[in-house]
Amino acid sequence: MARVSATSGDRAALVEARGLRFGYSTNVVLDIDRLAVGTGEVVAVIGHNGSGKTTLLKLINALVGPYEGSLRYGEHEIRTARGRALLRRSAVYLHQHPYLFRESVTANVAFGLRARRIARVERQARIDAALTALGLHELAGRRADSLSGGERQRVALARAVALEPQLLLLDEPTSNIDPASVALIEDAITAARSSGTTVVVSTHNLATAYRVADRVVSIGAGRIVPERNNVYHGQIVARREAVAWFEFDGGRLIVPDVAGDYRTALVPMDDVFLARQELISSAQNQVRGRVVAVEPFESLLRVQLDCGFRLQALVTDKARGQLGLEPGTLLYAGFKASAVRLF
Amino acid sequence: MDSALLDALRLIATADGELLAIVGNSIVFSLTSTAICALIGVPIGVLLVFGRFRGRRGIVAAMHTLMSLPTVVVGLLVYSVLSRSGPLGQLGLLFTPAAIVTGQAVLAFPIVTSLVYGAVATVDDSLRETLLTLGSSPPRVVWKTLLEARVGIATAVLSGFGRVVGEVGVSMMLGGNIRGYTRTMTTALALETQRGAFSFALSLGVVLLVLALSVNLMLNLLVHRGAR
Repeated sequence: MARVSATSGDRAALVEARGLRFGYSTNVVLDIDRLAVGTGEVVAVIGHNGSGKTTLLKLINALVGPYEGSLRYGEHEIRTARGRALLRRSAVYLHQHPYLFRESVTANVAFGLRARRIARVERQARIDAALTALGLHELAGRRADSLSGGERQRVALARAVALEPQLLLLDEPTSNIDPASVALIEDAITAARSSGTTVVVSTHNLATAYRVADRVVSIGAGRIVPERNNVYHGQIVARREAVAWFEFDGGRLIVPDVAGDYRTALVPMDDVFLARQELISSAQNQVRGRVVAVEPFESLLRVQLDCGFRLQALVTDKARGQLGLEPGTLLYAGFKASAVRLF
Repeated sequence: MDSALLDALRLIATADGELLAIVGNSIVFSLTSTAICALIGVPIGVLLVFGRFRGRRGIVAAMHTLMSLPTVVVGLLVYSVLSRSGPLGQLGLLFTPAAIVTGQAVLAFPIVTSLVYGAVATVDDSLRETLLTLGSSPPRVVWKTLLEARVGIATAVLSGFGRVVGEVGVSMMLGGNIRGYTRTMTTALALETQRGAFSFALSLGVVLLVLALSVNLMLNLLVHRGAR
């Protein structure tokens, strides 16, 4: 599933924003031209603190408002009564610092199930499943206010997944918590994904983002920041003498040999150079490809190459003339193994 | 003066009839006015948090300002309404317990409303959002928020009681300090002091002080429990 593109892909959108603007008086917090989250897709929203991640998630869950433009959930505009009602039945948002009721862990997990009037018999089964999924069985009887940060986060996520929502909105679920809890939470997100749940997860932890998400969207100052990386999903297939081979659908990269199990490789578009001829260079990755498209990108040009897989490079306008950048041109592209980032 | 204090304590210890009647009056009036005030002020304080209507902020600001309303001003306002020539003069309420209760309720209203507003408005917003996102109905969200703010709400009502039980202006101007009818601890204390009946005044002072201290103690206990 080598998905290089930053667009929503082919699935029907469950959440779709168009011309979405939100702010307080003159201060615009969020300004999104277009963002779509496909049904069953896991999208990670990355960005610094204050970039608008939380606001975006809360808008999608109709917890803040009103907004300008369009924000749809399935068939309905989120600001409408029907849209809101549908959200309350089938979506759930999880705070970065979750609010837990001063009751037992089990009572907390049961809360949403009661609120949504899930039958008692089914309730117990779902509570058990959620507690198991997040490794909480031993804590089931403990009071929620006696738990650590990671445990609290897990209880809150268990409370959310027990609802078996269609849409799960997670706000920084793995920030400032212990590694064991991070692993359990990431596994729970992956499990939700395999059962068909659509997930939008905000994080400033790139590792979490690339481990759990099908697609990573970056936002800064309330706007979507265009992707500057080539993103490949695959795995390391061999390691030898300080290098490793990362294989994905359509290609193979030489990457640094770092211990660990990686699923995603990033090649920054800025680090890819283009040449008319094969180069003898220290860059370990060199491929030949045909130019598919040349588009303006900020003050640069973004060149898309088809090398059996899609590779994009950012070059200056000057390079256009020198390289003869036209669709169909055959070029060599290269980048150092150390430029590749693994997640 | 020493003997006056001893006399005062003896009056309290022997449960002097006159003293008991006055203390009883005071407590009944204050409890009644606080109860009426709570019945109106608590819902309005809550409405000011959850309601979405024009002028909400203005009302909140006004309530805040009116918290320090002088008792004599309340006395004057209610007097002008209840006096024979006033709009409600027909009811003949002036110089009755009802007049005192009305005045005290007016006095405590901004205090209770403001403090309830503050207590409910400062409940962690993530509680509201958590309840909504988990699927609770809006009335249930309000109810859970109130449960969360219960200590603050109780504190508001107690503060209202504390304010009215120790006030003089309203009781004097609207009740008229009629013996056995509208005489309260504070008006009696003022009168007995002027007459030179120090031991009786002192006994009233001691009871009043104990009452005020108990209210404060309860407030402290509540706040302490809430903090845990």
